[in-house]
Amino acid sequence: MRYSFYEVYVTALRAFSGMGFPYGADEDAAFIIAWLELNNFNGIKLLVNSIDIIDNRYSGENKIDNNEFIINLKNSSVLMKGPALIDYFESKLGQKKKIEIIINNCLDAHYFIPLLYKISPKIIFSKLIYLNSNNKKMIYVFKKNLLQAGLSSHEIAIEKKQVKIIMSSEDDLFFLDKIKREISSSTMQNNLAKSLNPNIEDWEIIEKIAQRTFVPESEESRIKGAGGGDDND
Amino acid sequence: MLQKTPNHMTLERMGSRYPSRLSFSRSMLREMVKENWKIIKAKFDLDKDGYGTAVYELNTPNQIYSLVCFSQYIPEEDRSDRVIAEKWDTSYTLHSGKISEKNLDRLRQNIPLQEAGRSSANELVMSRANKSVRLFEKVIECLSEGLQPNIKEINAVGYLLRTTAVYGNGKFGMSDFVRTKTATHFSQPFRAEMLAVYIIREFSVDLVEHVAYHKNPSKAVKLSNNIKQHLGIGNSTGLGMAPFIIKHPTLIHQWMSQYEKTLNEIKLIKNIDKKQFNKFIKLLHKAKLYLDEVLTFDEYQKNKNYNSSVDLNKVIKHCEKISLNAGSANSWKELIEHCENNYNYDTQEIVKVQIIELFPSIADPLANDMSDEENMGIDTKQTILSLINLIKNKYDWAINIDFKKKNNTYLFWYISEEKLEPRLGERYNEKGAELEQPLGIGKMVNELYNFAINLPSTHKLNIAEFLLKFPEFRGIIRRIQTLSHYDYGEIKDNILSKQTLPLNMLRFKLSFFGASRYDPKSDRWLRVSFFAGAPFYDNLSSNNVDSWGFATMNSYN
Repeated sequence: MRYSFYEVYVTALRAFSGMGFPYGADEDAAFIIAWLELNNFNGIKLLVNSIDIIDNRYSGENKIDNNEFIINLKNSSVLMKGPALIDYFESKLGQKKKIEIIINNCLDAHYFIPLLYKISPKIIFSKLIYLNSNNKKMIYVFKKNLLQAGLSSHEIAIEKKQVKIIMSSEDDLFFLDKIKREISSSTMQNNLAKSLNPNIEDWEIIEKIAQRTFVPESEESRIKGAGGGDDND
Repeated sequence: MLQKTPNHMTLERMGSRYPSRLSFSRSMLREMVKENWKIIKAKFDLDKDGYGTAVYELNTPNQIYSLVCFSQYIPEEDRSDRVIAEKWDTSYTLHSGKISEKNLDRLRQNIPLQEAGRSSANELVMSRANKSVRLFEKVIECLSEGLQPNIKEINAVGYLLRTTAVYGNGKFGMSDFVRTKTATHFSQPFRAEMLAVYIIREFSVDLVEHVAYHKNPSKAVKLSNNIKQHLGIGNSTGLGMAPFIIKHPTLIHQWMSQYEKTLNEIKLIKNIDKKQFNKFIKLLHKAKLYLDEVLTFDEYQKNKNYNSSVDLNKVIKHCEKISLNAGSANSWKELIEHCENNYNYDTQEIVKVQIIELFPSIADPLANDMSDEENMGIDTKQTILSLINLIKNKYDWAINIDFKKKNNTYLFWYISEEKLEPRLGERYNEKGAELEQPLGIGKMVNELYNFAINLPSTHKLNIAEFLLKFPEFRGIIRRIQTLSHYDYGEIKDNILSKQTLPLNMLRFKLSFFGASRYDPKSDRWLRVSFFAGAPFYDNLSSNNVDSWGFATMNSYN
């Protein structure tokens, strides 16, 4: 079944709230999932795969060590810690023109993609590198509402469960040798026209979690909550 | 230097608003006339009792849209205005493009089910409407006997069909607004919804005339224009509308800001033109007559209407004195300030919207810019101390509330399990408060303020550093920072208070839609009419497209 972006976002929002994410953190996490689903990254499936590490385990606090650009996520989800980290790095970009961040013990680096795309109008250039679950090196380049994914002949050392993020307030000479995928407002409009198509089994799992946020009806609440009385004349 | 925000966004003021030239129903009709949109009845396949399918095709310069109408029999006992209803007399969708048989079949399977059905990205609006038990059959009876219904009976109800929901923006699989505004004519909020409602009104009259004809082909007549034009399309509206205002603060700001910009430009005009002023006095008389004629059984609304009628009379007398002394240095600004100092909120608003009627060149371009990107962002570099000062300046109404008092946290907003609709519960009398929706902005601001003020060690941190440690404040900080540049984004009242009247929020939003004839049925839901007094498509022209506000029974003579 096909769904609108709004439906995916709202259902994810309710699911995050149902899993214990506070106001604001639930909005950021829902944005991540809906954006990934819209752009054919299987956001809903990824969320289902993350349930075990986030459900009733919300922990959004980030501790920064002496080297503020090396972060140990300790296998905690980017859905919980990612938004605040990206904000933090973006705030550092004012002091430096370019920053390089290494994030270790990161299980779900793909959740950084929507966050970096979202702030791309604010910063000139950013780059995300990680190994996916098949140990394939993933490289994403972000420039003002444009994402390019592809291959590079540049030697970039990266370890398993490690993420490299480079942010720059100047254009970077880095380029991809082969662009395998581009995302822009135009491709997103095309995807909106086709609607979103999450796997139905995954969707039902998320819908069920979203239902935790609903209040069951009593006759009293039906009458008081929505009005009643002379309703048919 | 931070500026104090104007106090236009208290609940009482919000609940005193009236439709204006900037309302979406008005701007949609103007666009229809300006671009010469054509409406044709492409299909009218109804049986003698009025059950079946109709399609109204709308031809715009670049695109075709189809309003698909399904009419079905439902037993009396199944007819309900409540959102929990599952059957409706009629159901509708606005489809982008000419309708194909395949799409019509798909929609026939889904649209009558409403929330239980599915739409596609080609559908922009979905709605349903029930027949007015008081009026629908009565009008058919009259027409089939060759008679016209009495306009007083029309005025007592106001519509033949009453919508109970008008959905858009991605609901139930429909097109997301971010797509709609790029790919269709409807770049402004709620224009597509208003178009659908306008054509449903056309259908309501076609429907009664069709049934009346088949009841008595030799005698049946059509509705005369003056009776017809007084008919609007009804709408029952409940709490579902209220959270929208809180969840879309930058959009709400844009609506209010355009309205205030209109008034501010008018206030700059130094002298009042005498001819224009006479027209204004006529508009005040029309509004007074409307208030005297409009019917409601709700005591609160009755009093509001009565008091406004009394005050309007005083304004009229005041203005008549001014007009006798033409040539003096009176201005619209002075008149507005006189009303703000002497009359109730409803009267002030009526005066303002009627003044705006006189200045289409100012108001109409602003009415075409009511949209907003709705980007809410975090300013990572602001310090906590600066945020505290911002809160003191912009949210003084919130930080001065004592939330330890039960009356100030009496209500909570939640989503009901049965229909996924927003509801209002009583925190200390009902279950479910632990699942409260984050709509109590005043309380959240208050909590953040007290937390930060009592933790001086955070005052030098910037927001990014603070949120690393305290992510639970992420949502409210993003809101406060974003709205620091939006004077009208926030309701400046505690909506969790026992004294909150949710109707005020509904009326605020409905006024921007262009709804009239407010008829509250409780403190949480009401009935209104859309397009009451507006010309039907056959008579619509540039001469009458903007002359139907505050329609009265003698407006069509």
